[in-house]
Amino acid sequence: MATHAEFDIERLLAKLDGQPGGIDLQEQPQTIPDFISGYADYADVLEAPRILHEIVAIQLVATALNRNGAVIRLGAVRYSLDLWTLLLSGSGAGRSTTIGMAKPTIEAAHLENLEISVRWVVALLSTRTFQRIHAVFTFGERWRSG
Amino acid sequence: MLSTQQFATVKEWLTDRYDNFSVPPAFRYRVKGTDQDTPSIEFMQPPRINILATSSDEWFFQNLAQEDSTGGFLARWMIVRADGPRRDVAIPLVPDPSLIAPLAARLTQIAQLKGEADLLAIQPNYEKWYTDTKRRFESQPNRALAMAYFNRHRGHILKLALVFEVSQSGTLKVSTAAWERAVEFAGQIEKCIFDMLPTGMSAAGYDLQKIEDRIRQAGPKGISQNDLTRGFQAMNPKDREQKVNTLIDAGRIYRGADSTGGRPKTWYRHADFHQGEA
Repeated sequence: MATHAEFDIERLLAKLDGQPGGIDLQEQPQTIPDFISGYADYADVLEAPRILHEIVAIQLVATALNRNGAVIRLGAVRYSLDLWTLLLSGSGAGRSTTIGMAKPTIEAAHLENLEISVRWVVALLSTRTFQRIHAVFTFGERWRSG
Repeated sequence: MLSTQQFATVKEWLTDRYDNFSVPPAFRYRVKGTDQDTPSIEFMQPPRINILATSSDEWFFQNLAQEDSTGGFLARWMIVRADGPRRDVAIPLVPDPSLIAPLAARLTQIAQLKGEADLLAIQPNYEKWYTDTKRRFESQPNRALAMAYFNRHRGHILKLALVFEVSQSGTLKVSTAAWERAVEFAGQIEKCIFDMLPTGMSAAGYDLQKIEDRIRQAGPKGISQNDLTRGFQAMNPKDREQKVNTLIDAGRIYRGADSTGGRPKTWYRHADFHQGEA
């Protein structure tokens, strides 16, 4: 059963889909000085702690950089932007809803291939598609039954 | 899921891929010469993997395997525990749709960045942070386990610093402002690691900690045997008794009995509140 928040996100996506030509990213008067805090401001409408939204935004930035091969060199060591984050909280803290809230932003940025839900991981791990993976995998509560 | 037979080697494979810049060997399957043959997986470049996972504390700890920590799989994760003060939001608001376009525009800009991070401005800060933080990890009771986490934590903070910089300025030149945000965020992760280390990152250790926490929460008066049993009645009685005894043997809790004429009432009190009587 969908929560209120999930219902609203679906409605929001439907609304975006209905706009002729989608959103023109060049013609937006409003600017966001900081993506992470801007995203947290946008998503922080639920009981879920703000840090959960910040982590989602951090992961979106890291994934976008990682896909382009951005690196960090520290002396002889080289780091990629591989980042594996795990959000732990009590039951019913709205973790899955929190992750789902990134969808409209990802879609509006036309970066849908940045995110692969866990339901596809099983298939990916056993097909050649995995050759070119540069994405964020999202594992939610549903991986229990996986 | 990754502990099931079907994914027997996935954790090791993923662990090997983390920050690994070499192209992994191909997966080749048995060729029978039919249309049903599974095609081999050949990598053209090192796969870059980001994972955003969620779990409840309970499910996460109950499914931990010993080798998850010892093999380095778990230490590669940046674990964030959202256990701050809860808010009451009876009627959730709809996120402001007018923010989607500017957020998407920023994300689009970010997705075009490539190259190497410039850490010059933060190197002295990093060196100081490194030494101070390493000492804190070294001083943890379970030092070997703590250091496994420090060895990844020292890289996580640099990744966070770059991510914060990109988020605020859209460049790869990491400033001290972004570094300070990273230090603050890494501090929360460090606290989370230190809170979890006493469990030994195992299911048994997590159960011990839950019992200990329950007794600590009871304060100086302690908790009665009846209340403790009711709090953990889902646990196998033999296991529960064994865990309580382990905590007593470790000096974390004390057991006593009040005799008020009738049947003596057993109580447990946390070491933090115990004054030596019993």
